[in-house]
Amino acid sequence: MELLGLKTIWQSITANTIEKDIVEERFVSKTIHSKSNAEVSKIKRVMLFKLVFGSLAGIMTILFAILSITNPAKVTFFNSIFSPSEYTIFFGSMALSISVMVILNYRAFRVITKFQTSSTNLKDSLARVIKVMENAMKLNIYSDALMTPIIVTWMTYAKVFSERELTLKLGVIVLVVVPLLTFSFSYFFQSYSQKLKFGNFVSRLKSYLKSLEREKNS
Amino acid sequence: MEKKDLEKIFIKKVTESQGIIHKVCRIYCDDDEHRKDLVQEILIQLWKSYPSFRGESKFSSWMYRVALNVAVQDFRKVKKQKLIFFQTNEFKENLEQNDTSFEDEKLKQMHDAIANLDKVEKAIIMLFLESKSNQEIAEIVGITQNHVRVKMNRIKIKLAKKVNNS
Repeated sequence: MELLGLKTIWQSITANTIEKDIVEERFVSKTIHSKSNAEVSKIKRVMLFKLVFGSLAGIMTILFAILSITNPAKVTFFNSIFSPSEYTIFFGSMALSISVMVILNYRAFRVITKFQTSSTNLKDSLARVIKVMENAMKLNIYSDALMTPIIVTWMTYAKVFSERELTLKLGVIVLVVVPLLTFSFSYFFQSYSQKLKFGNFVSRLKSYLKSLEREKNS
Repeated sequence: MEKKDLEKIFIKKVTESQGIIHKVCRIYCDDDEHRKDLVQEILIQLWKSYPSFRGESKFSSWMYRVALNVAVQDFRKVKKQKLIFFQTNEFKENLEQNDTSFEDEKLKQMHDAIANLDKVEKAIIMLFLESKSNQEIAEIVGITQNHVRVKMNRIKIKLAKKVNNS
């Protein structure tokens, strides 16, 4: 009874109120080309930036890795720190990790782009956006957790071994402990940061999805 | 069809059926600024989704689907959730006008109750208020008709409880 009463009220009030909201074709035409502020669009923009920046960085490191093998004399900017073979390992490891990051980023970016141009029902849409957001968050966590130890390890290596030889004891610290520590720190920092940025959003969507999946128990 | 022609048709159709967007925004937004942002976001997503619209469902059903998807997934951090739609200035103005039915206290409490439903429940109650059949609601939300009935019963109980408690 209450719902039917409410329906009458709704129809009456929307007729009066919505009239004031009406916009012209010109407004629609202008608006459809503006920037989206949806959470998915925000994370998509971050991914696009990482994709472009990562691709450029990847190409550069691959070129330098090749150049350090074919023409070591041309690669001279860290001469006081690295030997020619160290250059190759440095650029090779950077190129490999950046390439992995770019490939993962590209795959997630494709999924997120496809998602934005679809119009499924609410339940499927929620399931898809949760999956897309979780993948994007994972990617952000792992790409940073992967890149940070490599950069930090090389910086430590350059600092520690610029004036002394690599010994087994120090080598273990540099090659095992530093990357492990920075990976762990970076992983936890990124997980916390991603949770802070998008965690509440995803949790809320999950609760909505759960409420739509309860039929069997109801 | 060229993109320019497609855009023209889209703009015409959406402008004609824009009431759907405004109703969705009215039921989900807590202030005018938020409402304007949501109108803009829904228009953007409708345009982005338009190429996937093949006319298998009614244009209005497709619009409801996209608009509700955007509204449910809209995430705005607010310090305090305010009650919406029926508490906006427009509603207050309507209340002050001659229509005596709006002055019924029970109904006002009912309006507050709607504002306190979660986003999925708001979607379902809104489609119900828009006189959509259970089948249409089921298609837009993505659940079975039986589940729609279950949801509607729960919403009804929630609303009744709210009215009785107030």
